[in-house]
Amino acid sequence: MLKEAIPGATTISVLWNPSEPVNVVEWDAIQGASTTVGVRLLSVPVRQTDELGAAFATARQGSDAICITGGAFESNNSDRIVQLATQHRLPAVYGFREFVAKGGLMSYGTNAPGMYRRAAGLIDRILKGAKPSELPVEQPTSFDLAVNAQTATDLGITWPESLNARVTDVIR
Amino acid sequence: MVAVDAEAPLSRLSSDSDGVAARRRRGGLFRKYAALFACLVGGILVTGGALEGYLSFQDHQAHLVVIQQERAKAAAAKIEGFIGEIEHQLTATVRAPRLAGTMTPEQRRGDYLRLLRQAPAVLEVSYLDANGREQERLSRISMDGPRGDLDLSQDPRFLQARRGGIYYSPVYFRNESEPYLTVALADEGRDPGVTTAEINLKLIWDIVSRIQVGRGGRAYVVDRDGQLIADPDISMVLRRTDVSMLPQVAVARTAPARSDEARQAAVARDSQGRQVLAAYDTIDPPGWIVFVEEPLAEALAPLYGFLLRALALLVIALGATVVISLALARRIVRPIRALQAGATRIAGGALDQRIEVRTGDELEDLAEQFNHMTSELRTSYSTLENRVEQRTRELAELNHTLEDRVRQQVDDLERVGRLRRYLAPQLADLIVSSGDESMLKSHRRRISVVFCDLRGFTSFSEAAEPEEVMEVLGEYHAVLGEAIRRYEGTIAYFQGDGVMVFFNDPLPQPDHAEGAVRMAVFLREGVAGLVRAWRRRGHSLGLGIGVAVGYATIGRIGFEERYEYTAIGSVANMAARLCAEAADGQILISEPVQGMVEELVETEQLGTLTLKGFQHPIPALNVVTMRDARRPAT
Repeated sequence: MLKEAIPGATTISVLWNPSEPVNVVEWDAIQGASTTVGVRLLSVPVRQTDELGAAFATARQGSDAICITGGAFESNNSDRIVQLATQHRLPAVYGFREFVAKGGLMSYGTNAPGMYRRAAGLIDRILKGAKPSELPVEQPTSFDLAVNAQTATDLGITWPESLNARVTDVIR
Repeated sequence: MVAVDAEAPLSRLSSDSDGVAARRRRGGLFRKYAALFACLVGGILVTGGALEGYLSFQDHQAHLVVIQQERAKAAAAKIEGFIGEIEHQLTATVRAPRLAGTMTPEQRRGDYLRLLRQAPAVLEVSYLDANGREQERLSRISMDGPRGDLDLSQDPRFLQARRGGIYYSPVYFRNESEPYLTVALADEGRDPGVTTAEINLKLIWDIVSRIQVGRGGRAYVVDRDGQLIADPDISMVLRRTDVSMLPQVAVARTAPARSDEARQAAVARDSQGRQVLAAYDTIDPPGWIVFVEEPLAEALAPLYGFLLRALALLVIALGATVVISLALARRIVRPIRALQAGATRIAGGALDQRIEVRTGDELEDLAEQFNHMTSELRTSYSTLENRVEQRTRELAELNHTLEDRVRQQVDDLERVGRLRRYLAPQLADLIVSSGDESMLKSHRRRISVVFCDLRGFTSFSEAAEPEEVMEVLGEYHAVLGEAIRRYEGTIAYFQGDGVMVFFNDPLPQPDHAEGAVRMAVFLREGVAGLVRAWRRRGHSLGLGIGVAVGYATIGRIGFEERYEYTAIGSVANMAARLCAEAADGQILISEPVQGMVEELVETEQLGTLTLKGFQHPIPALNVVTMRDARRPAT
C-alpha cells in the first residue's frame, strides 16, 4: 500500500526488531511481498530505543519510505518513531491506527483494542482452567486502513484513487 | 312445682342416661358436615385443579416448543440475512447494470474495492476469466494481484457459478482454524467470467452469539457435513468441533426437507451431555442448519413455576376450604345443637327456658314449635298441680269431714247408747238422730208413772244362791224390757227388782195413762207366768205394780257419764207407795188414773190407803182386767 501511496518509491526501509518473533514473521512476509510489489527493501533492525534515531537516519538516507512493523517494541516507542518519521520527512506505514492518530501517515492493520479484548477473554478462560494448548488461535477479522490527511498534505502526497477506495479511517 | 318435684327425679334419671349417650354422639354432626363440605369442595378443587393443571401443562409445553421453534426460525432468518446481504452485495457488484460494453480491469478493480468496503466479511475477492484463470485479486490480508498460475477451470466454484446462480462452497477452515466460505457468481452473458469471494464466517459468530436463548441457552450453526461453523463460544468452532453425533443434529440432517409444521423442538443432549430443548431451522441457500438449544431445566422452568404456583394455590384453596367448611358446618350445626340442648333441658324438666334459634328457616320454625310445646307442657303441669292441690285439699277436707262425722257418729252412738238405757230405743234414736237433746232438759209435765217390784225379793235374795238370784232377775228383766219397749215407756231407773217407768215424756203421749196401765197389765201377765215357774223352783216371789199420774219435774240428774233421766215429784212417790202396797198380782192405781182410764179397765175399789208422805189417805183401786181383755201369751 505504501508503494501505491508513493508510486515513485523504489526502496522501502523496514524497521523491525529481530528480538520480537512477531517482527521476524512480518519481515519474512514483507520480503516475500517486495518482489511482487517491485521494490527493494532496506532492513533497519532496531533492538533498543536509543537506536531509533540512527535507524531513521539510515532509512532517510537509503530509502523513500519506511514500513514500521507492528510489535510491542514499536508500540511502546510510538511517539518517538512518529516524531522521527516526521522529522526526517519519511512517509511511513504503520501496523496500527494509533500511529496515524499521532501523526503517522498511514496504517493498515487490525483493530488493536478489539484484539486486546479478545485476548482478555482468552486470559479469562485460561484463568478459569482452560489449557492454552486447547485454545484456538484467533485471527483478526477486520482490517483498517487509516490515513492522516494532515501528514499527507505535509509530505505533499497525492492520494491515489485506488487507495481511496480502501481507506477506512481518515484522521485530520 | 310440688307435683313435678315428685316426678322430677325420675325424669332426670332418664334424661341423664340419654344425655350421656348424647354427649358421646356430640360433635358427630359437626364432624360429619365439616368433613362432607371439605371433601366435597376439596375434591372438586383437587379434581378441577388437577385437570386444569394437566391441560395447562400440555398447553405450556406445546407453547414452549413453539417458542423454541420460533427462536430457531428467527436465528435462521438473521443468518440468512447475513448471507443474503453478501449475496446482494456480490450480485450488485457483479451484475450491476452497465451501459457501455465490457468492463475494463480498472473498472472491475474499482467495483471490487467498493465491495471490499461495503462487505467487511469479504476477505478476498478475485476474478476468474472464462478459462478459469485468475485475472484479478484483491485481498485484505495478502498481496493484491492475480495468481496467474492458478487454474480453477475444474474447480466447482468456477463450474457451478457458470451454471447459474450463486455458488456456495462448503465451509473450510483457513489456517486450520478459521471458517470461511467461498461464494462465486458468474457474469451475465455467454461464456462468463466468475467472481469469487472469500467470506469470513466469524461474523456469523457475532450474530449467533447475540441470539438470546433464555439465560443458559445458545444458538449455533452447523453446515451440511455436520461441522460446527458458528457458536457463541468461538473456540468451539475454531477447534473444528464435530457435533454431527448429537441427536438433534442427526435428526436435522437426515430430514432437511421436513416442513415447518413437522419440525418440532425436542428434548436432546448438548455437546456437554446436558439435557436441552432443541429446535432447528435450515438456512438456505448454503444449506446450513441453525440449532437453538436451551437447558431443559431452564426451558421447563416456566412450566415448573406454573405447576408450583398452581400447587400453592391449590394448597391455599384447600386450606381455605377446610376453614370455610368448619365455619359452614358450625353454622349449620349450631342451631341443631341449640335444639338438642333445649330438648335435653325440657326432658330434664326445665320448662322455663326458650330455645333461641334465629336462622330464618325451618330450624327456627322447629325451635318455635319446641318452645310452644314447652309452654304447653308448663301450662298442663301447672294445671295438673293445681288440680292435685285442689284434690288434696278436698281430700283433706273430706277427711276432716269424715273424721268429724265419725266422731259425731261415735258420739251419737255413745249418746244413743246412753239414752237407750233409759229411753225407749226409738226415742233414743230419735233424739240422737235429730241431735236435739233439748227435750231432755229439766221441765215440768204431767206424766204417768209406773212403779213395780218383786214381792219377797229381799228375803229371796238373802236366801238364794247368787246365781239363782241373777237368773230370776234376768228372766224378770227380760219381761220388763219387753213390756217397756212395747209400750214405749221411759225408764227412770232400775234398782234390782224395782223399776220406775213413766209415760208422756220426753215424747208426748196423749194416752199416757192408758199406756201405763196397759203396760202394767202386760207386765202382770208376763211375770205371772214367771212367778209360777219360780214357785215350782222353790222361790216364792210376786209382782206388785203401782201407777200414778200427775205433774213432775223431769230432767237429767247425775254427773258426767252417769246421767239419769228421771222424774221428781209427788206423782213418783205416789206410784212408789202404791207399788209397795200392792200384793202379788195387784196393780194399784190412783183415782186420777182411774179417771183417765175408767172406760178401759175394770177395777175394784180398795178403799183408802194411808201412804207415807201423803197427808190424806189416798183412795186406791186395783186393776182387775182390761175391758178389751187382750190376753198375753205366757
